[in-house]
Amino acid sequence: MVILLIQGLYAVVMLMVVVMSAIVVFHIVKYSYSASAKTVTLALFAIPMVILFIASIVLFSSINLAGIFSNF
Amino acid sequence: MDNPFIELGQGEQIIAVLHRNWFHIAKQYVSVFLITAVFFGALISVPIFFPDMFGADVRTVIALLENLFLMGIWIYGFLIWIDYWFDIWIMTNQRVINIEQEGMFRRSTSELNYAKVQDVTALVEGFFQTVINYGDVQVQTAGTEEKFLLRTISDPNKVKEMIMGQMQNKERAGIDELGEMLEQKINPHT
Repeated sequence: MVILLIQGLYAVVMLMVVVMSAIVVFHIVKYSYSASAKTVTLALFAIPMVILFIASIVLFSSINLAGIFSNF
Repeated sequence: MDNPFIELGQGEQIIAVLHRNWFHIAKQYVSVFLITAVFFGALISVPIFFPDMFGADVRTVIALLENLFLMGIWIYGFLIWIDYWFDIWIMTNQRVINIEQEGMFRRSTSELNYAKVQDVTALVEGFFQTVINYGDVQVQTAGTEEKFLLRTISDPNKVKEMIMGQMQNKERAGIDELGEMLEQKINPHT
């Protein structure tokens, strides 16, 4: 039960991250004054974001939730 | 200079595109860096002082927390950047366009024709503003919006001179046009 709750919370957090990232990307794409600024800013935001997102999923899936919450 | 925001009229050229001074965003990023430093300082130092408390699973959880925090800070940093960089003042030879990003879901655009300008004031107030040379330019207008404000821009006195220069050019162009019209009336065959 607790494990499901933790997984649900994590899913909600990741969903919020995706939504906020989409908002940032939308603004960069729509409102950048020049094409070069748009490309650079988008790359600067998206590349670390994707790496962090994938790392987050890898880290979460490697946690032994059953072992940590075995007494609950 | 191509731009995606405004349609230029006949003979209209973009003279300058202005953003807020860098110090405006630096002030906001200082707090972000401080919070990040405190967070990571705590996460690094606690396992050093209490090494027996942290098994492999706990260390993975800590790494996950660091990761989530970094994602949050990265997004927050860019939200600050968007609010700063997308405030733009576009000066053409006919008008000034003010595009203001107010938060994520509010964006306002207003423009001011030089013919409606009555007075221009550059205001540099404060220690950092004086040293770094940034401030506000207030434009008094004859329109419905009485004051047009260019906020925290670099070298506001130079921007004021640019606006005054364009106002004078506009007046001269108006006088030249009037002169040509009068001459045509007086000497219609020339």
